[in-house]
Amino acid sequence: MAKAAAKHRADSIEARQNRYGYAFIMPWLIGLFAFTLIPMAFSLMLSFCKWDIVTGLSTIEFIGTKNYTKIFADKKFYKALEVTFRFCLISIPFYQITSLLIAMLLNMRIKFMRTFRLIFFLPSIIPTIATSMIWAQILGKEGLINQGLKLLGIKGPAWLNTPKTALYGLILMGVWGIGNTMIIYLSGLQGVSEELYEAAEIDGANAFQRFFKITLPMISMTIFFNVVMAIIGSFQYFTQAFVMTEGGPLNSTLFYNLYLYVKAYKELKMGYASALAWIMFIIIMFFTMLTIKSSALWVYASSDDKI
Amino acid sequence: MKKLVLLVLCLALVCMSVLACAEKTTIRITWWGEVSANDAEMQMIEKFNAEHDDIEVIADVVPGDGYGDRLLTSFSSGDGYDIFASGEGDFYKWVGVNMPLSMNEFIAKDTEWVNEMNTALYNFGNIGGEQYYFVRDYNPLCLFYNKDVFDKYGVEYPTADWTWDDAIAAAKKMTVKDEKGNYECFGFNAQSWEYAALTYFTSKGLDIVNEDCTAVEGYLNSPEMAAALQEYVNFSIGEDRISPDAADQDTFGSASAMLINGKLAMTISGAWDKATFENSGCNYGTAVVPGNHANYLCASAFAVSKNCKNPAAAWEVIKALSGSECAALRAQYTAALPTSDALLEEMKANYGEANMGILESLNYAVQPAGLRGKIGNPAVGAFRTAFERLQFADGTVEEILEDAVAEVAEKMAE
Repeated sequence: MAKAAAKHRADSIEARQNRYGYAFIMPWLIGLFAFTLIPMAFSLMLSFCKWDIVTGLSTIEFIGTKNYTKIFADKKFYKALEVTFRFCLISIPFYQITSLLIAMLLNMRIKFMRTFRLIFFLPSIIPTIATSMIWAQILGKEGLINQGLKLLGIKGPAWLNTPKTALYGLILMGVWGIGNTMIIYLSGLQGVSEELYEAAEIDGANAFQRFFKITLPMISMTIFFNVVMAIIGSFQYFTQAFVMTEGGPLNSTLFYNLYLYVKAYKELKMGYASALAWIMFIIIMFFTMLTIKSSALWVYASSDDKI
Repeated sequence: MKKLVLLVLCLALVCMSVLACAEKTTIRITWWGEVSANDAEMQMIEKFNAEHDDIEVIADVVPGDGYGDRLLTSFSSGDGYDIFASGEGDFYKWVGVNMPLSMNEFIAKDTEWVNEMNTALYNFGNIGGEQYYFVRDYNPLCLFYNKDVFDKYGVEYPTADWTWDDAIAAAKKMTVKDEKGNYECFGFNAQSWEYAALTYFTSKGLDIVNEDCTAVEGYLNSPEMAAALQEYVNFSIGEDRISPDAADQDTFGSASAMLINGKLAMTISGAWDKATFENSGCNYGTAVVPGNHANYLCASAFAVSKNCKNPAAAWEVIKALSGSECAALRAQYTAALPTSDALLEEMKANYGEANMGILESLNYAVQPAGLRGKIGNPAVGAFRTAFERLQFADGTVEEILEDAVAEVAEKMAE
């Protein structure tokens, strides 16, 4: 009897704790349903419909898979995919290598290191729109970059106004915002035990060997995290292109999300834009899963950190 | 007893005010821009509210950049603005999604209303026989020039008998580089803004659509159009260009800034630049566009939304905002030209010699292609693409224009 009462008391405590738990996460749960899950389900439904957004929900018309078949016959869709893939292929390794190199420099024990870290991190907290405006000037025909090139006797292009260079201009600008990635690498580097380096040095390992045999494996989990975040972020690239180039010149910076925006809010084709969004969702999902699956081959994780 | 009577009277007063408030119809109106001290619309709305016990107009002025998005959000909510402003470029777009309400029924019923608007401007808002829009502001395009630049290089000011050959010859004389090869001044601004570019072709007697705006074949891709387009694009390409390209404008600033600073001799623009030039102290002049002077008329207009629950009240507001009283206020406090012929005549006396080209251009203004028929907007869009492709030599002009015609056909099929 006493046992049953104790069990009942324990159950009611657990139930009460559960209720409290749910109460605490309720704001987040409401947000998740209201602003993520329900809109996602709505957009999935819309991707099989025709709707112009302004005429009200009553005008949503089911058209089956027509949006998808149209998309696969749309030249601009392939152009947007090409631009986005090119951006990802170049920018992801470029930003990862650059931020890792800077993090390594900032991991050295020299005077004023905290100031250097601050200096390198500062640009990443400047709002994207302000950064874009500054870089539009830097990448201009008479901008800072071309002034520098002029000193070397090179006549630089108007980076953002030339189809061949506009994408590279945006990629270059992205270096300005690698502060967050760099900080994560820095924390990863600081987590590598000094003893490993000391042991390697005693064994006669040079700097390159120490980097490839100790540093890289030991921060592989950090690299993995940064790469996954970079894949997702790069496929969602939008603001800078929207502000600085509007997809031009000659669609050379027509990023996928920018094309989606144009279809949705300029041409009022909500169904088509939703279908585009779901295709992008599948692409991002595929590459994220691929990275996760491949991590078994290159990510060193202790038994506690298994992915 | 006295107290009781007073209480009853107070209660009656409160009840009456509550009833009066309950009966008041609210009309929400929006347009883009910034509210200045003497904003004509705001003054008119204040007056309207004071004169109407049964209608209250609430204005929401949205900055230009966010206006389109705000309008979309409003429309998609299904319960947005009762009256909205639109640029002429979007007239067809909104009609295409049944957003504006035709006011034909109200116009027919309102026997007291006297239309004081210029007939051509009034018809601007008529699509397929339905009066959707009421013009509030309009601008013909004309040639703005910097007199000091003309004087510096000893070139005669533009006149009404200038052909485009005369204009380009003058532009070449005023396109000057320094000893290092950097441009000191450009003669003409061959801008990519399609209204200015299409004004160039229209004033040469060319068009991208046929007369009744039902076809582009033989117009958008005509050999004459191809030659003219190639010529126009060449103005801003290469080391011998006479016009700033996009990169030059990134360096030197907008065309109006360049003209003020003596870096540009001529540009095609509208009356909205008048105040900029006047305030800067620039010694500028205006002239009709060379050639046959035909130019694209830009306009913005008010329309009643189909979501409006009290279109009769909205019609009263539209009448006030499109009437000559509001037009006079606009002309007084902004660069806007009045929509009534009588006011326009009055204005001519005090408009200033430097601005006469703007008024003269009105006589040659034509409706933009996008307003002449359903094919207009796709044609303008295809022209924009063709223009950009040609700028970057993405094919021959003939190929590009054939693609443009195909693009229009594709859009129309949609």
